[in-house]
Amino acid sequence: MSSSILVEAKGVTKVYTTGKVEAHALRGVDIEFRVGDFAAIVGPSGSGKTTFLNLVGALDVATDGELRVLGNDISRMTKRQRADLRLNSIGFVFQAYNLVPVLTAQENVEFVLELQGAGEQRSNRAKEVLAQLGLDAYSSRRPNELSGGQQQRVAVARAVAANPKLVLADEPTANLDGENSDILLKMMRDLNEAQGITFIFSTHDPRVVTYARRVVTLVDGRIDNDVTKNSATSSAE
Amino acid sequence: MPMRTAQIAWRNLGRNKKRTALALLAIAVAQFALLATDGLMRGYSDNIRLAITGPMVGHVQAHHPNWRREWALDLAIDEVDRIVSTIHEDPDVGDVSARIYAPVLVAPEEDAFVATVVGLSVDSESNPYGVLSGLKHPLERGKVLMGYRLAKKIGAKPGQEVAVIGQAADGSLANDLYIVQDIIKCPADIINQSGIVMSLQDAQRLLVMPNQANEIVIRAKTSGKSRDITRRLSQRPRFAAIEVLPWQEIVPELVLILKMSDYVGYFALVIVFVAAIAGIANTLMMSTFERVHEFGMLLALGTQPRRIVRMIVCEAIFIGILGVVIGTALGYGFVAGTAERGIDMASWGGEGQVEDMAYQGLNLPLHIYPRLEPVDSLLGLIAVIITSMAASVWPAWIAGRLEPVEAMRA
Ligand SMILES: Nc1ncnc2c1ncn2[C@@H]1O[C@H](COP(=O)(O)OP(=O)(O)O)[C@@H](O)[C@H]1O
Ligand SMILES: [Mg+2]
Repeated sequence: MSSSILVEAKGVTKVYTTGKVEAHALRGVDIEFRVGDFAAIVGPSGSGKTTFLNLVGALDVATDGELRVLGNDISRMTKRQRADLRLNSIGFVFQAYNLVPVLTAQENVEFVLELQGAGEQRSNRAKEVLAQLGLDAYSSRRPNELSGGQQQRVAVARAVAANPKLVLADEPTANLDGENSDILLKMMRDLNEAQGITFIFSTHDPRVVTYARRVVTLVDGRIDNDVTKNSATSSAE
Repeated sequence: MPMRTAQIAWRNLGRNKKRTALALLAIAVAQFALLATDGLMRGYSDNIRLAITGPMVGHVQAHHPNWRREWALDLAIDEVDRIVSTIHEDPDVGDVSARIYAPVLVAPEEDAFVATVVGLSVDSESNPYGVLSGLKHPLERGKVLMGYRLAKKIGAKPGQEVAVIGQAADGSLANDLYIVQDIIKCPADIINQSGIVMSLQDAQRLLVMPNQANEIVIRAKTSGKSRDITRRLSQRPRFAAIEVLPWQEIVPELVLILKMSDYVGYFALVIVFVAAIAGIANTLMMSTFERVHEFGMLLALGTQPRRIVRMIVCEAIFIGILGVVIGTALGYGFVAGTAERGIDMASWGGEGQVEDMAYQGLNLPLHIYPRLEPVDSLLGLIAVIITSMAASVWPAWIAGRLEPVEAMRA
């Protein structure tokens, strides 16, 4: 197995059981993601995008099939081990409310670094990341003093602060206007290109899809299409 | 790391200021009530203790072994002068007063009324806490002081001559005339009701009790020595035929009242507990439910559940401590503000309704000087901290069991 493979899914299925009702969210997904991928998961609402990202992010466990993330067999891990994997190796950007409301942007970044066990240098590292991403002006503001776009950018800064191998983002632009979506995606792609951080994000916004180098289409819990573009810069600008 | 938890917890208190303020208020009011109650109860206990060990009972008493059962005049201590000087040899003894009690009839005009002659050591009883301590002029020989209720009943006035008739210890007729020097109101209710107070020498002569007394009242220099004094005196040969008792054994009912006032304090403590639980639990529940999404996000990032639990417990303790501090400030303010002049509880019963409370021949003054001991505020603090932790168990349990994915959908 090549070490450049970060995520490897074989026949992954996920069935949600609510009472007597079974919802087949994923019906046998086979896919690999490699270091440096900048991949969009697209598909209609209910096609299984969130379910898939939750499994890859070790937030949930598949019903069947095999899923290896960063060399770990997710189904064999304890809750605690999965939490540690998330904390130390995966960055997350959620759709909204990513930040702790009572902490400033800088403190939000520091908080996760601290959870990871970073010592005294965490404050400098948080400043560095925010500056690098052009967010220094927001560092002492609390989330309610930031726009939705600004909050999402701080969330990306937090996700990459500890240099994770993999960043997962479930519809990160869902609450943003076009301009802010552009800014966020450019920022993510710059990080991908400059630092080689792998991004997998879901979206149903065609404008956002144009930034992806690889587009995986889910339909009804199955992979319908998996296209890798030759040049990522060809479309968006 | 815990510092950051505390910091976040502290800031979280500011998120819903109104709710936090309400919780603080509940705890502060409870702590205030606890301290105010403690302060009043301590002041009241002081009154009781002073009334007992002061004018009436003293710290230690000596009697003929049968006196307390029969109250007969001839059950007397002999050679009182030598006994009193022996007692004075004890290093902890302050004042010593020998007393005689005798039932008599008093006749200001033609009619006669039942009264009690109380003969006592004028010098000793004129010292602080003595029966005569409030008197302007020392009691003179051949004169008596009359309890104010008795004087009112029989219509006696200062300067008036009254006849006192009774039976002497030897069975003969006791009979003499005395000038009423003054009308007195004192903490000993028996004196207010029926007392004809005269010097020990006058009483000894009237009742034919040469160098005798029915009771010797001993006041210690400092409180808390009554049992030591009792033990030392009992061991002396001169006291072989004399019963020596500390005040706790002379008026056990009053010791019970003192204990009961402690229970009032415990009751107030229970109220603090309940108010604190209600205040903190409500606040924590509401703020926990409101933040389920946020907790889900933190868990998704990989935060350990116990870290979130710690944050909630921390918030609870902050509210608890802050509330107690505010309540303590208010409570001490109340006690400090009233300690000087005291509070007249008698006036609480309506105008002229209650004067003082009489119990077992003792007059318990209802003018209370509130007082606190350091332990009083500590109890509330400990109670509230324990309560805070208890109140955070349920919300913390909920938060600790959240599944990140489900919580984030909230
Ligand atoms: N917790 C759940 N319980 C039951 N059904 C669920 C749950 N989560 C998702 N589903 C179902 O699984 C399917 C896929 O959902 P999801 O992964 O959220 O799709 P998407 O993110 O593409 O909109 C949907 O039919 C949805 O109703
Ligand atoms: Mg979704």
